[in-house]
Amino acid sequence: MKTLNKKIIGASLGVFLFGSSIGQNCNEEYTYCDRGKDKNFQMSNQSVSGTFAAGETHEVSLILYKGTDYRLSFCSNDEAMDGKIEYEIITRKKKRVLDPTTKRYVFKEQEESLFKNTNNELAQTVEFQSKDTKKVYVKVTLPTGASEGKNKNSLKASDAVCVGMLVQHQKGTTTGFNRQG
Amino acid sequence: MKKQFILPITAIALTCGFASCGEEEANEDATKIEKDGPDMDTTLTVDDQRDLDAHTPNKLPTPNMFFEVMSSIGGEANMDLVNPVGNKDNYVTKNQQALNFGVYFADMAYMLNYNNTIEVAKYFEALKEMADKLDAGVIFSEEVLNKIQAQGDNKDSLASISEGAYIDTYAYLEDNEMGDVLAYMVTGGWIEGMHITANMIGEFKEGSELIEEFAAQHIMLESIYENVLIYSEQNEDLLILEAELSELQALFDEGFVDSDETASVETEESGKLVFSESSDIKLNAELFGTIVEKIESIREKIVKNELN
Repeated sequence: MKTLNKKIIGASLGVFLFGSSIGQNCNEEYTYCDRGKDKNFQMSNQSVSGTFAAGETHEVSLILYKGTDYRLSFCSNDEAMDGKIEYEIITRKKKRVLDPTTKRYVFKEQEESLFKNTNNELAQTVEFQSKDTKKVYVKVTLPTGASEGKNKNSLKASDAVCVGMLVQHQKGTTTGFNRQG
Repeated sequence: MKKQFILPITAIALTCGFASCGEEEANEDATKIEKDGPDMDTTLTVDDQRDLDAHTPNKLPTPNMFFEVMSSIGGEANMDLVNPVGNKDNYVTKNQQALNFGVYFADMAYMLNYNNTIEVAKYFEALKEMADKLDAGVIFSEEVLNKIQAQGDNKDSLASISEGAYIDTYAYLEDNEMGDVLAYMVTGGWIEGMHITANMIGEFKEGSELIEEFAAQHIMLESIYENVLIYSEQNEDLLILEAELSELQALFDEGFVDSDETASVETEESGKLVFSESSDIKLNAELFGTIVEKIESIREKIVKNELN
């Protein structure tokens, strides 16, 4: 028997549920998120929903195909949280380093922030494109005070809040005048 | 080592709902976990959260997305590359059916994106038959099948219906705790996509955009591998597939190049962000050939029932 920090178990469960969309009546929260006006955007299979406790941060990976436009939109079933969900898009670059103990090369990852909505007026939607096919991670935080509102969807009253991340995509577009010559 | 201590934790996640398990344990100061190996140190700290985050099931893009990008770069339809629809009756066990269910979805996505719609309805029928056997037939209703048949060669409508069917199947398998079937389906589809792409590429050409995209697929492999590992708790037969994917992943890792380049973010006038960062996997002719050989070997085992 080994001891495990309970916060880690809580976090792992929460993250798992976010990643797999399993949770009480919380499978399709993302379908309530704002879809925007551009009808060319289609819902992506990478959209997720999950149950969060106030103050928790969970993370999901997102595979971006080159030249494709993406739109992320966040929502929850807690009215008090409308417009307040925090998120950050990060990338992790691998570095090969020599492990002094084993004398073998291992991969370490270096994190870089690409977008943080707390630096952008808590924008609940963001549109982006990647020039290369790559994997990014989205860290989503439900701020404290999340459970003070009233659930507006199907989840029964509890401390948990259902959070949705709608992912939409469309063939990439570039804006501006075409240059000739 | 990582696999050994992550799996028991994900096993807990698989068997507990947030409300039924998490809340009961919320007031305890510490939670204990049983571990088989006597010398295994499973004491985790906050630093390990990253590791846990990285080992939760990933939601993955569809085969249609993959071929949409590939077809925008190049290649052409070649029906010799797909798994003939007549093979469907050869798949008898659940694992074989789930793997080839993914293969046929990928084949259909390939045909649609390379404008070869003649056999799409046949493949859709095969998918319906296999979905019935996998207890996921509810997705492929007669209504959906009729819609497919009514579209003729309207590529966009066919693509939209097949994409919807894939997304619905994915969600159905997740919601009904059929993660092992999902892991097989996604792996089968990805391997088929890579098999088709490798054959479209043919000879290695330095700087080829198709080869760059082929190499960039190591990120999908990472995610698929993680999912297979997690769902092997439900179905240990998946460990056979895990071993194959692990070998493939090691080959891609051989192409790793260190770079000090940092990711850049530009903002277009419309407000859209543009991320830029080159891949850290570069293939040469020899490594490309070795990876293709491994992919062909796995694909052969999948379609000829030699994996399970």
